[in-house]
Amino acid sequence: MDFAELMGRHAEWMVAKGPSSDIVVTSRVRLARNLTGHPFPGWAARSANAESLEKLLPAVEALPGLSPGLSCELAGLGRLEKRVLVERHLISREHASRSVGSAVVINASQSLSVMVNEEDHLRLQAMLPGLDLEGALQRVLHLDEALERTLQFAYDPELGYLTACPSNLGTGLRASAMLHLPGLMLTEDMEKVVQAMNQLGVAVRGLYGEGSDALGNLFQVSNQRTLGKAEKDTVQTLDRLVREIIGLELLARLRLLEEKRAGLCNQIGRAYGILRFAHRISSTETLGGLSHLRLASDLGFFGLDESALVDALMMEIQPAHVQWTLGEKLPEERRDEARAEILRGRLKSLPAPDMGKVELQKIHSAVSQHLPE
Amino acid sequence: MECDACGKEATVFLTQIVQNEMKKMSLCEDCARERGVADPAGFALAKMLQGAASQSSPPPPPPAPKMLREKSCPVCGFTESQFRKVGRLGCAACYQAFREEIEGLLRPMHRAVRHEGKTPRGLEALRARLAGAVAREDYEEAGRLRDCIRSIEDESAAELGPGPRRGGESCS
Repeated sequence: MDFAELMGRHAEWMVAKGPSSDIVVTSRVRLARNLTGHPFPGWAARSANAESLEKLLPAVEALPGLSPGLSCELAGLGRLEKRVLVERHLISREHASRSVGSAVVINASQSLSVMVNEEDHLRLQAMLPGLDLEGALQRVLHLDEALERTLQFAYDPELGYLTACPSNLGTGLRASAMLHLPGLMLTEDMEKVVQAMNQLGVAVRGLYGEGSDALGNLFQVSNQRTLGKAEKDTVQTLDRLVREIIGLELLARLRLLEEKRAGLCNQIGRAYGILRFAHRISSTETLGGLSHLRLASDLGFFGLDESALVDALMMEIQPAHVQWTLGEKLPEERRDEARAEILRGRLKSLPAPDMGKVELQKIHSAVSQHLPE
Repeated sequence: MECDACGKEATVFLTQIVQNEMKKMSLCEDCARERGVADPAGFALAKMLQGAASQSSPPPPPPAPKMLREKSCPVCGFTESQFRKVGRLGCAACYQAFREEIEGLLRPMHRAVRHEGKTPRGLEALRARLAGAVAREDYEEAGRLRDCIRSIEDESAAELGPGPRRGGESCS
């Protein structure tokens, strides 16, 4: 499978639904692993990275579950192609800046990906729709166990798996859930949630991780500590905290419907109008508008569940995706025009939101499920 | 340009930000070496500027010898000052070389200092751990690992099937 074929498809998480998909877009787990006897990629000479790549790539390509997929060295990808992979959360921004001696392997449904010679020799990732951190953990552990049969990973009985950065030491595990939290943003309660999470050892970041903005009211919630807590416990703790955030978000949505309904409907209606009829629009404005449409879908305003359409659009309208789809690098203004054209086409059959369709009782019972008292 | 310290021709030029102000300094090779300028971690321009300002005072004392003999990893050559600068290590062996420095970081970073969780279960990993146990004469552990390796070898000879191997589970 080549790059165009893989990216021409939607990722599994963009079309399939998982548990709590109304609020949790994806669950991701990644493991960092390094070979013994090879310097870490950031310090290794180019020839040493080529050497470790030669050892790693065949082992990764042979993994069950990764074929038939895409396997390519970063030197073989253009800048735009690398940015498309970053936008899809398949490689990190750091990995995109690498070239000779690094590679990426992705399965057809884009639920599994392996970065070879990023900061660590291997970064194994599983990404699933909805809240399914446990499922994502099982998948990466499966990859890890298969690799361990042929590769020897750097490990210390006291410190666990050894990583280039001590912040990943131990399990090398980073679990993260991507949450859509328009309610908490509109009620201005998000700041409090972030502070509480930070105190519990959980980081809350924007759409593209460290240092990125909360575009489209999307947040990544992830564990910070990797030493002294077993994989399962780390994932369970995060799962529990995510469920609490879900409860708070549902409560915020309920409050908005009960107390600020006109304001909420106004914002959703405007977002619908702009996205359906604009002829030039930036990615930031689009993500904000799509967030409102996703909320409208969750609240039942469209009658049908339109969240898969919105989630797919959240990818398709991003700068690199727009240019890659059109097959050329475009100046910003042309990109904004192309984006508006994509939106008009994809939203043509989306009915206008009907604010009368909301089922308050359903949200009430969902809230009480997540927040028992 | 002249050396700020002794007036000879300067060959080393330094710029550093000290308390939000850009400070520049010119030094000849001898004075630079004397002040440990070759070692970026052990060198602070603020201290030197204080020395250069008091013209009449004798030159600052030579830096402590440990600044010049910086700790480095015997396997990959990565140095302690590089670690302080980038926050990452050069290779797995660096964790032994810089054990003291890293241990100080772990508690604030992870609120723990000992690994909990998965251990490598593959045959390669078990063999490596067996070699380690034999080297440190831990025969009890070595015997346990040897049994594990045998049980996995017997099992895979028996089934030779795909899927995760369950026999290694007790071998953590």
